[in-house]
Amino acid sequence: MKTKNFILLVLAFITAISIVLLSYMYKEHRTIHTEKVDTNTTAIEFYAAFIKDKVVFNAIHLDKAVELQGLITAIASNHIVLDQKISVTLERDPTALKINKKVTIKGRYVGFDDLLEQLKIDQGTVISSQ
Amino acid sequence: MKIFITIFCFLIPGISLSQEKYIEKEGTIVFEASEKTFEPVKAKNTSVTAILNINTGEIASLALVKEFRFRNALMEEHFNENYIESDTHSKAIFRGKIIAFNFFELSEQEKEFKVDGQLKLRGKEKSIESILYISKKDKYISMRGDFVVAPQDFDISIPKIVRNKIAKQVKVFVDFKLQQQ
Repeated sequence: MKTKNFILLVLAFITAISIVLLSYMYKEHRTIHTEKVDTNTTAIEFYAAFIKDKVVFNAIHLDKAVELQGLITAIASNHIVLDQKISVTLERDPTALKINKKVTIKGRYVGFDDLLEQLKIDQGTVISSQ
Repeated sequence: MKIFITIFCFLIPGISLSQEKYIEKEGTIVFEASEKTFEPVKAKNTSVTAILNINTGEIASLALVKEFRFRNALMEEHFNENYIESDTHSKAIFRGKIIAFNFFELSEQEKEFKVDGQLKLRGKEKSIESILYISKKDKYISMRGDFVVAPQDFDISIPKIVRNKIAKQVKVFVDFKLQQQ
């Protein structure tokens, strides 16, 4: 009886360890649209803060969820541009949106594109649009 | 009349400058460092920027490291935090030249071009020589190609515990569709 209990205990332990290990190894990706936002501002102010001090800006905002309001100045197949300075890659097709309309987006700030001179946001979702 | 000539003189360089540039803002780069029998080590970035000067053949491309997405979230986390350290090194930039590039020779049929340049990542530069397959249809220039790099080219050390799960040679695939600006 004792041996049987011991074997059961060992099996339960191995199962528990395996579950913990597997859930760590195959954990879910971040879901940006459910995360608490780090900053809620306008696209213009967000870009101005970057120009003011790029190092400090990146230390604060890189990889964080942000919410931005801005005017759509370009629409492509997987992204939109706000006020010509913030490129937002959207999780859903952006073609239903309209140029020159105000929009609020939520997404993750991923860095500055030197070639386009734009800040980039990925995993974007539209919170509200005009 | 003078004022019109002056305006015209200012406009000409502006027009030619914009006409010589083709830009991609949603380019794809895939890299793979998988070893057989282990989970694939593969990531994709579909927001890569590329700019081509059709007069000189000069090309520049930029990929933000955090935009490389893995199927496995933990792998993506390790890639960003331990290997590339993307909080400090947020981008990979390639600057180079397509050798003997002639815009007027491009057609719907893919043509092989040699490309030489420097890939900068984690503050380290690596010379890249590769082949690009380039074609032109309507207002688009399409280019695709691949090249190989190694983690040590960029001073990335792979811990012993995962060394046999990650290939020593990382294959990088590029797929761009550039449009005139």
